[in-house]
Amino acid sequence: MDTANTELPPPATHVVTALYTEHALGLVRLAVIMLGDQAAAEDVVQDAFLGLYRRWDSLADASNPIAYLRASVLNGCRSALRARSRHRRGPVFSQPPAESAEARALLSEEHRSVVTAISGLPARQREALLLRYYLDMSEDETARAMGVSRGTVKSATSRALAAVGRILKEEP
Amino acid sequence: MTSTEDAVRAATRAYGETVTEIRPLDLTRSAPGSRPPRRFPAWVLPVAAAAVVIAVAVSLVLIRDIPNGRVVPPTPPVTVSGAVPRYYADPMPAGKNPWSDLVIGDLFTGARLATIAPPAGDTFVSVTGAADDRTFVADTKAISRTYSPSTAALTWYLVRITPGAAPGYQLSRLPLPDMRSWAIQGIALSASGDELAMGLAAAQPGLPARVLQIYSVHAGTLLRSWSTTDTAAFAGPFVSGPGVPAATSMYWVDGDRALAFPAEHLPASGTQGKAGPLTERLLDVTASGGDLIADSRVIWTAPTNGCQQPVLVTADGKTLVCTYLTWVSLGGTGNNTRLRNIVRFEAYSVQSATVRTIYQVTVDTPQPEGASLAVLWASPSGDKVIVDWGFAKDTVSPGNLGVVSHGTFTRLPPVPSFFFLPGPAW
Repeated sequence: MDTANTELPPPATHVVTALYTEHALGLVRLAVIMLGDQAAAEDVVQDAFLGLYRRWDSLADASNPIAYLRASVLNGCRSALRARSRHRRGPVFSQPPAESAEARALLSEEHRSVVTAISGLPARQREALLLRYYLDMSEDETARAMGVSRGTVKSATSRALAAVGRILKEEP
Repeated sequence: MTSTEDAVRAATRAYGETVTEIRPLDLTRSAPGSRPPRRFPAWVLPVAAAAVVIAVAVSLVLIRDIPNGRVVPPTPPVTVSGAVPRYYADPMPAGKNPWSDLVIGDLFTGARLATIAPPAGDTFVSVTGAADDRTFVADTKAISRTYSPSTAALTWYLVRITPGAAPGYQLSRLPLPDMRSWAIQGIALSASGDELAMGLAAAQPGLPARVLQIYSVHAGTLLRSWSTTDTAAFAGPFVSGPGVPAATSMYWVDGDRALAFPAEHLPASGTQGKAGPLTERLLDVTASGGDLIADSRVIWTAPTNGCQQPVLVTADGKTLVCTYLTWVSLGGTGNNTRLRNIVRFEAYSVQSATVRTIYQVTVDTPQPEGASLAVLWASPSGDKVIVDWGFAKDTVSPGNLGVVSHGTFTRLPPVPSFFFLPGPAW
């Protein structure tokens, strides 16, 4: 019997690896802004891809694995923040993310001030802000990604912008 | 577009672009979402064990919250009544192995009573419990390496735990279907343990988009089925991510005569409007009909400012328990800003549509606060709830697992990561 290879689904390993090649860098960048730590961000993203790999068969919407990955990364960031505290390995943000040597060299003073202000926001506000303005997601998309209502996204974003604006104005 | 929005967009992108290299994908690393192993100093375990013994001997410590303060005055110890489930089952990653075990634990002591390994080549996926605190239904699936969302055949097991005996549990295979054409969105075992409800999303063309089915646990036969072509029916936080089972998101209520499940509020029939607020719906499983939306009704709509999904529906169907976090600034700037966080657990009356606070605690933290809070279980009438909350920067008490009853919080020994779906079953 002739079996047509084109009708066989590609192995999950290949699909997930291809997705990693295309999307991992962007997700790590998102996680870095959430966590302020590239190593932890890479761990979260690796976990998200491994989770996708393991759950590939049961995905309800396999046509949109990016949404799954993004949700996993956000969940992973929340968990990482919580785990840091529970295990008392150090403060949530060991340093404001813009203070790494590389970031210091590449970021303008203004950008560093903004990133530092964002790193000081409550987690939910920071998350809403990043989804809305870093990823350019709509309020509806942000609400779905965060698992909250659109109203909560609105209020969190509004408060976050107000806080960032206030902090920037207060800086000498 | 405000200048602050522009500044945020530009700065985050500039910062993101400082990351230019990442390590390659390693699919052999330890399980995702795994709870980090406990790494306590050597003296902690014996001290903790002694503390547990003392705690059990004198019952559990009562902690009463004082509004606007962190002070926890000592009060006479109370005993958590038998109405609170003592034993839980939870699929937990098996260390660095690519599968999850089913862990049976004692909530009152924090002890792990049994670790049930899945059949070789399989992994435990999700679990749901009956009202007796001893009976659970869990499912396993093969750890597959191929892309095919329609071939995730499930195997179902009945788990009966027998604390104090060896090995402490009985595992027997159930004749429930393997559901290979569906992606499980949530499962819920009836209080009696006789019926299993499944929220399903089609994983193959030609099937209704969303289906809710009820099976006889012991006979494996399909008893009832409701469907809809609207994919929004199980949207929102019904799952933490596509394909991640949310066994704790569906509830049997009213003496196993109805099922509550979360959903999006759908646009009016025939309109092209966007989905509305997140809602909780109630389906009378004793009534006729087979339309998941037309035959169910909305019993709660997420407010703009107030409790959010996921909510927990009590077994009497009269109360929804949920969490709400607000905060005010105490002053300071940048990383020196301090927040007064108000953690509130609320009960919403379905009958009167009113909300009351069942417990509130105020926690001052530096920014960012990194809050997590959840309602894990509620008694049939909602007078007792198991909650877990914590703040990443609260160095005094970053994790708080306990029972709230009549406005008081009784702390329980910590159990790692009850927040993760599919989460524990009771």
